[in-house]
Order: sequence, then structure tokens, then C-alpha cells
Amino acid sequence: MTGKTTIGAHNAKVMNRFDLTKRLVGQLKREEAVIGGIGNANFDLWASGQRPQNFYMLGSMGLTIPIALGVAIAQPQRHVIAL
Amino acid sequence: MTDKTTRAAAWHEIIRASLKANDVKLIVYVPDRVFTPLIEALHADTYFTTFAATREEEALGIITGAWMGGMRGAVLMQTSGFGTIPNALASLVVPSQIPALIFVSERGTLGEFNLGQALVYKTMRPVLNSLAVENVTITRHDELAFTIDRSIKQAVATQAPVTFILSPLLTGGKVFEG
Repeated sequence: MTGKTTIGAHNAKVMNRFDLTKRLVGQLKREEAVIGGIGNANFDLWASGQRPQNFYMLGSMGLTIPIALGVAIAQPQRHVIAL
Repeated sequence: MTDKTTRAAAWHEIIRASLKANDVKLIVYVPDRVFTPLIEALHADTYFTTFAATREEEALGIITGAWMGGMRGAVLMQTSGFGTIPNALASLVVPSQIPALIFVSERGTLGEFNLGQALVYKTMRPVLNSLAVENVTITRHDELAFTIDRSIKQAVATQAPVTFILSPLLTGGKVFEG
């Protein structure tokens, strides 16, 4: 056990955003749409492997969720993920 | 009275019909007194999915996602609301080639009493022109159906947004009742 990654008495590990994104993308099997938020969320999404169902939002900070909502309205059967 | 204006279809009915004829199903708006009859007509028609957003840029984000999912959408706002969307236009709608249909109820002119509207009125067209976003100002009832129909078709065919600025000459605008 490394002391650096533990917090308090619960031994909780600090979550790594890139590891989590890679894990998430690895779970996608049904052509889920992923809307990447501006900045690091996008960088991690790109580095996790590019897919045509990814949208890398640039510049319009705050609109990741609205874009994802729009996709979900247009395609209710498709799972949509906003990062 | 049986003058022409009472017999002709109301401006909001013409817009509703044009949207429907062009398969525009999603309407996201920020409430506006002048657009109220249009918003009510769209809500009443189950063909449309119509709901309010908290901000105009959010509305643009929603119809952007819908277009990417294969559904056409329009946003409704008033002139002052336009002041919130230049970044969403410049960084999302224009570079992503989204045929966003943007309806703006024109305030800030022809008897405006609200300074906030008047200032955005002065910057709205310069902003649209600098971004090379098509914008048409509609003042005449007899040109409304043609303008809306053709502009929607062009927006979709060229994958570019279009802004419809609806003049008080068409809608009656908002009158200071003080």
C-alpha cells in the first residue's frame, strides 16, 4: 500500500480522470454517443481511442450537457454520455 | 372589420406551417412576450417537441445535438437574448456547420423603451455579418412564408445557420404601456 494514494481512514484512492475515461470508453459496445466537454475531458476522450460517435466540443463551454440532451431527444434509443 | 389582415393567416401560423412543412420538429425557446402566440401555437401542436431553455446558448446547444442525431431544430429568442450567443455561434454552430434556425423577435427599435434591448439591437447584425451568418429581416407579411421556407431549405442544403429577425412591422412588437 502506498501512503500517497490513500485518504483518511477509509483508504479511498484518488480517482484518476484519464483511467476512468479509458475504462468508460472500453465499456462502450452499443454505439453510444459521447459528447466530450471542453479541455481535459476532451483530451482524455481522444486519448482513449477515437470513435465516430464521439463529439469533441471546442470553445462553447457549458454546452456539453445541452448537446447531449439534443442527441438524446433526436435518438431516444441511443445511450448518450456527456463528459 | 373585414380587412385583409383579419382574413390572412397570422404571422405565427405561417411560421408554424413552414417549420412543419420543412420537417423541423424541435423547438427550444427563451420566453418572449412578442413570440408568445407563436410559442403557444407550437406547444399546442403535438407534431413539435417544444420546451423552454434557461439561456439562449443552451437552446443552441440542444438543437446542435439534435441535428447531429438527425433531427432539425429551431430556437426562439428576443434581441437581448442574442447577446448571449455569439460565442456559441462562433465556436460551435458555425465551425460545426449546424443549420440552426434562429428566430429573433426584434426589439430595440421602432418604439423601444428598454435600453438593454436597444444596445443589443445595435450590435446584432454586425455580429452576424462578421461571422458570415445569413440573416434576414422580415417586415412584410406577404414575404414571410417564402422567406422562411426558402431560407430553411438553404440552411439545410448548405449546412449553415440562418437568423430570422422578425421586425415589429410584422409582429406588432412590444408597446410601452406606462
